Amino acid sequence: MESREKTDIGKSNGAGGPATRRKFFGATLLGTGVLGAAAAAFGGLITGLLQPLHRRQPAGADDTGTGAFLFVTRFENLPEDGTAMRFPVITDPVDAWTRYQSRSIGNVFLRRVKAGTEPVDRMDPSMVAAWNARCPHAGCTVNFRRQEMDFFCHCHESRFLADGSLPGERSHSPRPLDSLEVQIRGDGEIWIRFQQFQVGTPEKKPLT
Amino acid sequence: MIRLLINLVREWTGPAESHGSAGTDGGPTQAAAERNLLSIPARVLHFWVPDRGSWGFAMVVSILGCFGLLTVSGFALWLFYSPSVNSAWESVFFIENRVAFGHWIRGIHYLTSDVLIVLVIIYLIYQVLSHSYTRVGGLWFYLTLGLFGLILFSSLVGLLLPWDQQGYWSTRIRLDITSSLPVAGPVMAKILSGSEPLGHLSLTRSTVFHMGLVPPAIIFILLAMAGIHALDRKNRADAGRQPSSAALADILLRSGVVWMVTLLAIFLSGGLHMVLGGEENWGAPHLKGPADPASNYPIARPEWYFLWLFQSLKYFPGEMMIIGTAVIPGMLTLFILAMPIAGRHRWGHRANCTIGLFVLCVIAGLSLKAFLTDYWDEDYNIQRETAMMEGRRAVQLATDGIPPQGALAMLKQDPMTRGPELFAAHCASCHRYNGHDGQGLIPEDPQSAPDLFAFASVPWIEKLLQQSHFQSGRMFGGTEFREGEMAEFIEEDLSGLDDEDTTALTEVITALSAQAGLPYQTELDAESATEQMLATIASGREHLVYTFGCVDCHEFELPDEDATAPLLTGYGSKDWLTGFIANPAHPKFYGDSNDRMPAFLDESILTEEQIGLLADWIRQDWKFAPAPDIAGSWLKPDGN
Repeated sequence: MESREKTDIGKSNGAGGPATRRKFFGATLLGTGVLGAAAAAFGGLITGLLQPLHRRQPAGADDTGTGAFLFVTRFENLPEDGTAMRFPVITDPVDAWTRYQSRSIGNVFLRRVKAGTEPVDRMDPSMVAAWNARCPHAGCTVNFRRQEMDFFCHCHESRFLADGSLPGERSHSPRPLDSLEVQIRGDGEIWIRFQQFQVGTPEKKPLT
Repeated sequence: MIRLLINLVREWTGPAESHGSAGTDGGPTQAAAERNLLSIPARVLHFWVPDRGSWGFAMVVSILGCFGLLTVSGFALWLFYSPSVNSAWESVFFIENRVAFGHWIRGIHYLTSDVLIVLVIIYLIYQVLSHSYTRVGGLWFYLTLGLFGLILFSSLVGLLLPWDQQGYWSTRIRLDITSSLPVAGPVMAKILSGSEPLGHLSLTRSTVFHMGLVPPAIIFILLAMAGIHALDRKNRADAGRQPSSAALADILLRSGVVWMVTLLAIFLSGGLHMVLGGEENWGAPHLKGPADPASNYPIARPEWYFLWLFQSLKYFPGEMMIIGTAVIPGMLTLFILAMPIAGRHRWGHRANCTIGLFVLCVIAGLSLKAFLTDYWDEDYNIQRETAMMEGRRAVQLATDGIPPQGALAMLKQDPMTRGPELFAAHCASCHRYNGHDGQGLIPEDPQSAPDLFAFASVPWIEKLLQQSHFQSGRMFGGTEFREGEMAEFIEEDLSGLDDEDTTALTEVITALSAQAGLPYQTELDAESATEQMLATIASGREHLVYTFGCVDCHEFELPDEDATAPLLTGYGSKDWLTGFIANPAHPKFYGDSNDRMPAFLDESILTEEQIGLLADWIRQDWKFAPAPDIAGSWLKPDGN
């Protein structure tokens, strides 16, 4: 570009003198201005389009899904027979400019493990199994079937055993249900570290 | 037949356009212009017409027509649309129900986009079959493909805009699948979604894609096609190959026929939604409930043009999933892109046609399979009906004005919507609601507590006070109270009554049911009851206390420390019910004699809000409530 401009200047010098030069500078100025403005506007558009790639969570939004433990329910509410139950995960999520109050950000399945054993230790986190209710196959919500004692997804007929694992025969999901960390606090309060994971991949990759 | 029509139109439009390249030949056209009013459009058209008045050109005319319809209806919709989580569904509701012709405009917009996709597919197939896909080195075909891609993209993005359950969940799953694609998948999904989880920014972004970026891109492609077309004609003319222009009549007729078929298809596709989709009106499918990311929407399905991919996912389990999501669509794209290149050779063209036909058959077969699987699946149909009812309910509630928190919050506070869910989840393992779990399914556990349909209404209390019903599984047959004091009382004191006492009992029932203040028993309301009814109620209260001695065990109106049975003051009212559900073992209610019912509030199983919703639902105290169908239930006089 630069070199061509130089030769242009040279030419105009030779051919027409100051008038042509003024014209040339005017044209260059105008051209640069228009090009610059267009580049800036276009750059703005591209930056805007790519914004989700580098957007930081707003301050205090840590509780919207990743990292923090959230209260889900109490231990007594889990059926004694080992049936898995779906619970909403309630928090105060932020969506762009809106902060919601006590709104569900997803669902978890909770289930008593070692069901039927006595005595029941309500403070032992290993007594409770927790999974994200989203199917790791394509992201639909799975259901627990009491008769079959398994998890079933209506979208693509993925099936998981009661412990969240894949059944021996072929399942549609590339990995087992996404288990979640459990903490028991106070007098049998179940707290879950709620996370979303990349669906459709064999490895369980948390989304940030 | 068509030939005859063409001849007729030809007669009418006068002499056919003369041959020669566009706009350059003066004489004959000028002469024609004086004779025929149609010659100005004829000259314009003449410039555009491909070598023969082909069906392909007619399809291009219809594609342009559809694009025009979409643009006009789209602008009309845009006047009212508001992209944010708290206003998208709401504004589409407004368009559908409050804007003059809004339902029709949205219907045309929605259905035209579907028909346009079909039309472009047919045009692509036509190009292959007529061997015109090699035209201008395949450029024409590629531009048509670009057009197809843009229309598809715009349509997919547009589906999210109403922010209803269907749009939300199909987008949610589509983005999840996109993000699982290798290499650029996650980045693409992020750019398309705008925010994760989907929210305000997904809607603003989709709006920009749908209304701001795609239409100019489509116009750009159309202009490019026009330019190529003109160049192509000029080149041919320069090369001395005179394009044999078709008669104007031909062009008009074929374009007219295709356009009419297109319009008919738009009209009929609305009918198809009514026949196959159970829609009540012609137009875009009825709004589903407002998008609820926390809900379970098991009937999420992709749009019809992706149904085959959805179905193919079922055949690639586990780690092979990528074959269905990336490999097959990728290979198909490559094949289509290679078609014009291979098509230059005779055998390549044959291979294109054969493979293309095979692929089309497979796609059609998979789509049909996916459709029929759902069509015959009972569970799916029940869930679909539930989703549609929720949508209708949301619209019904919205007609009364949507609160500023939005339609989702509105629906979350609606007892009619929430009651069945809560009842099925927390009550139906013991109780029933008219024999089912509130949602229409029969629970696995046998019934062990009373059926609460029309609880505390006159017919319900009538049943309660009959020995055979009290001790039946419908009432207290499955509880400890089967052999309790109440059962004894009914057996000893309420059977074999004389006429006078029977009348007295009827009055007691009326008086007790009046305590509930049920919205569907306005005739018992103190404010709207007749003189005669008020007298009956007053008399019933007397009988309740003195004749039958209910107050021996129950507390009624006067404080009674010794009461052992549930309070009868306000029996079945909202306060009574919420108190009872909160803790049935409270001294006011069963006290120590409570059987198995948990204290839903005190044991923090349910929140106060949830209990309130349940109570309102059991009392059928909600907006736009029809009267409960007693005659169709077991509460009818001779029912059991």
